[in-house]
Amino acid sequence: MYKYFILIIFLSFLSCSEDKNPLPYLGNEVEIEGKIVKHTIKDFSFLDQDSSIINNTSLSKNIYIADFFFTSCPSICPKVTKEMLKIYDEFKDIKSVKLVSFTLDPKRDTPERLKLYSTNLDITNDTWLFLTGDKEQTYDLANQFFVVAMEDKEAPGGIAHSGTIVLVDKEGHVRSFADGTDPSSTPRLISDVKKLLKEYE
Amino acid sequence: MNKLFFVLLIIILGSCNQNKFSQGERIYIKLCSNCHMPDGSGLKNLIPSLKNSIPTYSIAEQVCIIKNGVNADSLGLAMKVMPSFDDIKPVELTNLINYLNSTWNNSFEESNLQGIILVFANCK
Repeated sequence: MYKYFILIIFLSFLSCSEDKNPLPYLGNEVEIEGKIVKHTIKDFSFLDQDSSIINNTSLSKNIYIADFFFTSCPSICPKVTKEMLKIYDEFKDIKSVKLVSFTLDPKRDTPERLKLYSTNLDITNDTWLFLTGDKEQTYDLANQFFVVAMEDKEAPGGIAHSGTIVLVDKEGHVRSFADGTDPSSTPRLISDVKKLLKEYE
Repeated sequence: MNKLFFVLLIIILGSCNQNKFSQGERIYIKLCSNCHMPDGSGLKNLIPSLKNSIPTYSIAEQVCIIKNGVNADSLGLAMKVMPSFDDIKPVELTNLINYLNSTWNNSFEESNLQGIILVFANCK
């Protein structure tokens, strides 16, 4: 009995200390003009489903959760979108959180098509943005989010990509990620979002 | 005592094999679950939930939807299509149809291979 008591105390210490650990900054630091700089998402500019311009500045008031998809994707996208929906349901009323889905097929995924997609998903506010823009910029951006994306005729839908869901802070640093094809990894990401929100309180 | 043990063993072994359509389930996981989800819940209005849609289609309609796919543009959806699976083997299709309907259709009657082959050949 006494042994169990000690064990429980020990475990509770473990779980407390884990919670106090700040979220890491992911990615390699680089040296720019003699300064060591953390990995930061580069400047970008895209159109959302309402044809509004979305760039780093417009997102800098928010932390955001990003993924890469395309509307005609027959493979992993619906699964990842399902996990994004869970995250959306959790944070849709919190102004400082956004969800951002970048299309890898900007030619077909116009703002109009993305609008239809978001309507089909019952997305009614601007918490979840669906972005389309320059193709090269999108694929380059995916790499900065540590998402693998490339055109591949052999892949379903002609585009091979990973279903990673990425958490980015207001300064553009990647702070956490989850595997969008694995529903069991979503609760941890949700708790990381809450942890990151606390950093700004 | 020994007899009781034997009976229990049979019951336990029997319960392991409860899902008759586990082959159909495997085909479902392989071909359908990425979009319709492992639990058949679909994705909001974008991808139909099978719980709601399977009972609204006859077996013949289901077979032809799987064979031909669906042009979702006509339904006002952003997802372009449900792909066609016209190269599915008749045995696989029969197992799949039985899995779908035993799982999501309350008025389930088992389909046989001959019937499915006939329907499949007569899809428009």
